[in-house]
Amino acid sequence: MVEGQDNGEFADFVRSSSRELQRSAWLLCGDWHSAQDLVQTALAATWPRWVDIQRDDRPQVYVYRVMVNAHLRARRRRWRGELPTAELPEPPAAPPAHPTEMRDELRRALSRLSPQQRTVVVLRYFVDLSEADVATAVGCSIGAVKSHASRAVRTLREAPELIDYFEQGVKI
Amino acid sequence: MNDTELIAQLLHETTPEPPSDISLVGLRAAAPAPALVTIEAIHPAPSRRWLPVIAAGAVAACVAGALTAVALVGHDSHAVSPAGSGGSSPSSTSTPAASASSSGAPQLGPTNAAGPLGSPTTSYAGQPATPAAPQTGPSNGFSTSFTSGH
Repeated sequence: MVEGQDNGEFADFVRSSSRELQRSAWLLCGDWHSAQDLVQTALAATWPRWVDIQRDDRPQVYVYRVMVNAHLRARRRRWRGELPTAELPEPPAAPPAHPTEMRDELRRALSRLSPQQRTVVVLRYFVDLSEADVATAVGCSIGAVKSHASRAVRTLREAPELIDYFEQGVKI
Repeated sequence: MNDTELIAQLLHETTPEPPSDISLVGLRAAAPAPALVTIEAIHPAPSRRWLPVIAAGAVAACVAGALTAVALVGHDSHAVSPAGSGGSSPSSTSTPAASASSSGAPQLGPTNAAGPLGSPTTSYAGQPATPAAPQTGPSNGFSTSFTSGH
């Protein structure tokens, strides 16, 4: 375990970035329990290597890389062919105007993406990482990042949940 | 705004705030580092883990070698030099495989009347493998039993 100054610097990093990490994890997982588990797993794996990681300019990229790997690994492990849901996936009659309602629409629209596309969307458009950093975090080429992002944007653009948002520019 | 900007705005404005921060205490409990350090400290690297086994094997080999040497020396102590030189010294544990040649260099092999190992209990077919009766030798109290070759 890192001690002393490194321990304090890691604690500062956790305090300053844990909310953003959790929100990103929520976008990846879709629920808070899994998101918090994912962030905790990533930070726990990062902590022992913190001395080496902090020498890099962007330790955040490393944490996201650990988080993405853990998330994709967990998704491969679990059976997700059928998920029980109380809500039918039909588009709503009226466009949601409240952020809470829009949140559910966003979550359903994101579930239409493949894990890699969803990861690229979150890291590229929410975390605002560069394409090179996204490629590093996901472990693929920059070309693959561009391809995933392009397909993901097209899928979201055509998603029934978000069609009003894109066409009418619903103010959230 | 284009589609990517709309998506970025949607993600930023609809993603909820987390219900709680990550606890450093919980993180400390979940971090695997202490366990790894402890395991590393208790269990050395695989190469070092085999050192006691290697050392025990080496000691066993040394003990076995020493016992074999003692057994051979004890075995050979009953042998004497080939005829003509035997009995001159009670303490001599002549190497039966080596006989003094004219040049003084020891020779190996069947030229030694005692045979390669010069076993004092060597017997031919039909003869009991019992030590031969003491022969009258030099009056130094050292008796030998020697069965020569052909």
